[in-house]
Amino acid sequence: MGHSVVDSWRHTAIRMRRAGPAIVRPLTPFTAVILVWQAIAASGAVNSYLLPPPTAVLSRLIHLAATGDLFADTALTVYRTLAGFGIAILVGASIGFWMGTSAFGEWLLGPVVSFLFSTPKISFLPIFILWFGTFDGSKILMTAFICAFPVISACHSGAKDVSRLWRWVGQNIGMSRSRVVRKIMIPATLPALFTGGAISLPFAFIAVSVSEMMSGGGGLGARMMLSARFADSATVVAVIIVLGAIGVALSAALTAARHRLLRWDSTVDTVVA
Amino acid sequence: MTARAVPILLFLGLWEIVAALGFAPRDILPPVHSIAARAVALGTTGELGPNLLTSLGRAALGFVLATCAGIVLGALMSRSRAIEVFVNPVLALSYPIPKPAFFPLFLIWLGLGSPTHVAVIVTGCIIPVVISTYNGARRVNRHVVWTAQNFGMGPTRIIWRVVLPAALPDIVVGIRVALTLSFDMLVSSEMLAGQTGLGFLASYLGEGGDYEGMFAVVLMIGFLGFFADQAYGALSGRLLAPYRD
Repeated sequence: MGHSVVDSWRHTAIRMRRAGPAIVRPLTPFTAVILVWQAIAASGAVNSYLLPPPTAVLSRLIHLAATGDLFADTALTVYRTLAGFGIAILVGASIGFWMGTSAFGEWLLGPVVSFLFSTPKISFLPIFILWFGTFDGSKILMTAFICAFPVISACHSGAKDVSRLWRWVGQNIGMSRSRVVRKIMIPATLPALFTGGAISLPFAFIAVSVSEMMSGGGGLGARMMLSARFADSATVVAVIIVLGAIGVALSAALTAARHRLLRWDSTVDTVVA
Repeated sequence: MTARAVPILLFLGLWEIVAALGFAPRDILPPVHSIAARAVALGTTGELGPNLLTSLGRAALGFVLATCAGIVLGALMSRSRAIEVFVNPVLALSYPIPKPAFFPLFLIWLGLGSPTHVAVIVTGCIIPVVISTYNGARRVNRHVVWTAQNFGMGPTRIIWRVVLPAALPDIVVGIRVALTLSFDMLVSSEMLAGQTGLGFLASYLGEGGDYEGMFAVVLMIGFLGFFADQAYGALSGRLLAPYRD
């Protein structure tokens, strides 16, 4: 009996040692960074205003969560991100699809899209604030404008690359024009739409945080700017960490949606980053 | 080129007609000709020149720093397991954070001024360069590296003479992304705080009710980004000419 207990312990120890490095290895750099950060902050070599210790950031995070401010800000930022991103997907996919299927659409919009694609679109923010006010409108539409371009160009090339053979097959079995679009063209363009969406999602996040930092009105970006003005660096770092976590969650959600909707697509595992 | 300009001229013409005939209020959509006139006026009164130079200097410095540091870091990551194990998770962690979010932190660290703007640009631009260099360098044919080692090349020389040239096509793509991002980062951080630069000028003119000036500066930033990208495209085409079959 005792023998087997010792054995099972040894087995567990071996298993732990085997599994250990796989779990520990990616965590080591984080732990190292956090330990060095805490050590520097605790040593008093750097002003805690310049480098708040991780413990201070954590307790600020807990405090913000306890007062409910964190959830209100996060909800507002996520809402603006998703609303802008959603508009960009709908409008961008329609424009891109039109450009990919119509020679006139491509001629008319191609040069304008390729010009705007490589311009820093965030510079339009003052114009959007002038047109749509300082509240949700300008933030959401700025986000939609910035995110639309990767979606447009992905859907443009995606719709253009749909095999002619598939369309001909559809026509030959007597499908109507609108049925060919609905049953062949749109599904075949979907993988490109997801690729465009994956590229533009980080931009949605950039657009929302910049416009919140610029014109306030709640949200994580506004909280950061306000905290920076009050020299509250612990809150600034805490919000940066929350933004990173939301970014990871949003892109994981997009990947999961891609896997669910595009199980039939051979490029479903393609990583876009 | 000329054929592609036709739709753009059509849009500008439509804009001019809508605005000049009064279909849209003048402070919502100023006509194109008055924006152009205001742009010239901003140039002659000296409001534009210094801000333009300041912005270009910041963008250039941030972009060059990010590119150099990114290439070095990416190359080191591909050659050293220890650096890779350390840098990879840090990259993965910082990748999803919107980079302008570091602006308030840099503001606290570096104060108001060019260092903060340059730091935001470097933070925003470095990741695509690191990732593309790393990916390109990892794909380098091992036999080529072994051959270089057999010829007695040291590790530094191998990185410079073998790994980086072979990874150049990937690096060029990463730098293009960084170039576009550098303008985004520049404008966002200048709009957020400060008294200098094109981003500041655009939001300052807008807040003061000079909407023609604001449109002029915004469009100018757009053209700058576009021409930088076009110039880079032409340059990289020349750089990569020896790599084509």
